[in-house]
Amino acid sequence: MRQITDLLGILTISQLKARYRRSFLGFLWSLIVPLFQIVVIGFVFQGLLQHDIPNYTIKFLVALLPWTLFNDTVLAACPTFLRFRDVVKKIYFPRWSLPISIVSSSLVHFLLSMVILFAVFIIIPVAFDPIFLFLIPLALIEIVMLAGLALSFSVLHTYYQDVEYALGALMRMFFFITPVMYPTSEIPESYQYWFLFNPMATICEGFRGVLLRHELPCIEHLLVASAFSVLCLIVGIVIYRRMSPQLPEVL
Amino acid sequence: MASEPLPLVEMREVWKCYRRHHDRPARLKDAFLARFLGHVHQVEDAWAVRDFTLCVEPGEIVGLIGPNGCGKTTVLSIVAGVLEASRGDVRVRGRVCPMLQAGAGFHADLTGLENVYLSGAILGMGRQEIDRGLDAIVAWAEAERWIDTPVRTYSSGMLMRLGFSVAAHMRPDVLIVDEILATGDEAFRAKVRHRLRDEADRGKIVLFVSHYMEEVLMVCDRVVRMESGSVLRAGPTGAIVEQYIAEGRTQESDDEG
Repeated sequence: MRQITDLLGILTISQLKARYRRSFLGFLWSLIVPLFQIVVIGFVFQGLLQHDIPNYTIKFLVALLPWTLFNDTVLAACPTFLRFRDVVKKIYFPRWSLPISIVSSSLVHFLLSMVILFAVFIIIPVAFDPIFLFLIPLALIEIVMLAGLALSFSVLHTYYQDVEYALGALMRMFFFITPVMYPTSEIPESYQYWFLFNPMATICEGFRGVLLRHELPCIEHLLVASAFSVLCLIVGIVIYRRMSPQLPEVL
Repeated sequence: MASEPLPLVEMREVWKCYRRHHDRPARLKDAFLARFLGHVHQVEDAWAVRDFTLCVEPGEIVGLIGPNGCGKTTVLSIVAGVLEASRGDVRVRGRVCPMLQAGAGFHADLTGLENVYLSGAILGMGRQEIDRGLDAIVAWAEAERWIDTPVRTYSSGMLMRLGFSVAAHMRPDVLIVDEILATGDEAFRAKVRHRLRDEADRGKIVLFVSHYMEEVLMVCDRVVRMESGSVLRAGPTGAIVEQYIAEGRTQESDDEG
C-alpha cells in the first residue's frame, strides 16, 4: 500500500516537473493559455457579436477551470502507455498507476489555478462564502469520472491509435455543448433540460452557481452526474482489467 | 535475514504463443470493417517458446544464448511477470529486477536524481528505500558530477550506469540482465561482472543474456542454448559456448562456399 502511494506520488511529481521544465514561464503557461482564450472569446462575443452578458469574463473564467481540468486530463492520458513503452514491456508493476498519475498531476494543476482564481476574487472583489466548500464534492465527481476515462482511453489508445484524434475532435464539440463560454441561463429553456445528461454541464454550471450566485446545483443534476461518474470509473476498471494483461504484447 | 525464503526460478514445460495478426486492425476503421464486412484478418499463432524447462538454484548465474528471435527475451519477460505463459508451470520466488536498456524508463527532461526516484519507484522501491540507497546508487554509477543535469545530456554509457545502479541497489533476488552492457566501456563491464558475482555469492539468482561469448564465458556458471523457442543444449558454460562458436564458424564458411 505504502509502495503504491509512493509510486503514484513520484510519478505525479515527475510529470509535473517534466511538463514545464523546458519552458521559461513554467507553470504560468497554464494560466496564460486560458486567459488568452478568455480575451479572444470575450472579444468575439461581447465586442463583435454585441452579445451583452454582464461580468462575462469572470463567468467564463469560473467555468473554464473545471473544463480545462477535464480536457487536459483526457487528452494527456491517451498516449501514456505508449510513452512508457520500454518500462511496461520489461517491468511488472501496477500499470494503472500511469494513467492515474496523469489525473493526479492534472488535479494539482487545477488546485493551483483555483488558488489564482481566489486571488482574483480578492482583487475584484467577490465575497467569500462557506458555500464555496461545495466545490469539493463537485470536483470529486469530476475526478472520479476522469479516473475512469483515463483508464479506458489510455488502454484503448494502445490498441487503436485513432482514439486520440477522435477525442480531439469530440472534445471540441463537447466544449460547445457544455455551458463553459455561455451560462445556462442564456440558452432557451426547452434546451436546458438536456444539460441534465451532460455531467460536465452540471459541474461547470455548478462552479458558476456556487462561486458567483452562491447557490447549489439542483439535486437531480447532481445525482445524475454522480451516477455517471461512478459508471465511468466502473467501465474504466473493467476495460483495464480485460485489456491490460496484453499491453506488453501490443505495445 | 536467515529465515528469508531462498530465491527460485523454476519453469517447467513452458510454452508461449504470440498471436501474430498479419493485418491487426491498428485503426478503428479496420476494426469496424473487419466486423461489418466480414473481412476476416488472418491470425497466426507464433510459438515463441516451446516446451522450455529451466530450474535455477540460488547463487547461480545462468546464461541464455542463441540467435536473434530464439525466445530469450520472451523467457525473461515471463520470469519478470510481464508476460504470462500460455502453458506450463512458472514459479518465481523473490524480488525480480529486470535491468533496462540504457535510458529506458528515464524521462529525458528530468535530472539524473529525479530519474533515480522515477525508475526506482517503478521497479518497486518505496521513497524511503530510495532515500537510503541514494548515495550508494550515485556513487556506484560514478555519477556525482552530473547527477543534477537533465539526462538528455547524458551519453548512453552514463545512462546505462545509472540505470544499472538503481536496479542493482533495490536488493533484488532475481536479476535479469538482457543485453544491456553493449554500450559500456571495459572498466564498467568489469565492474558489472563483479557486482553480478557478488550477488550470486550472496545467494541471489542472475539470468544473463548476451551475444558476446567472451562475456558469457566470464560471467555465467552454466548456459542454456536456445533455438526456435526450445532448449537446444544446456550445461557448463565452456562446452556449450565452444560448440556454439564452432557451429557459427562452420555455418559462415558454408555460406561463403
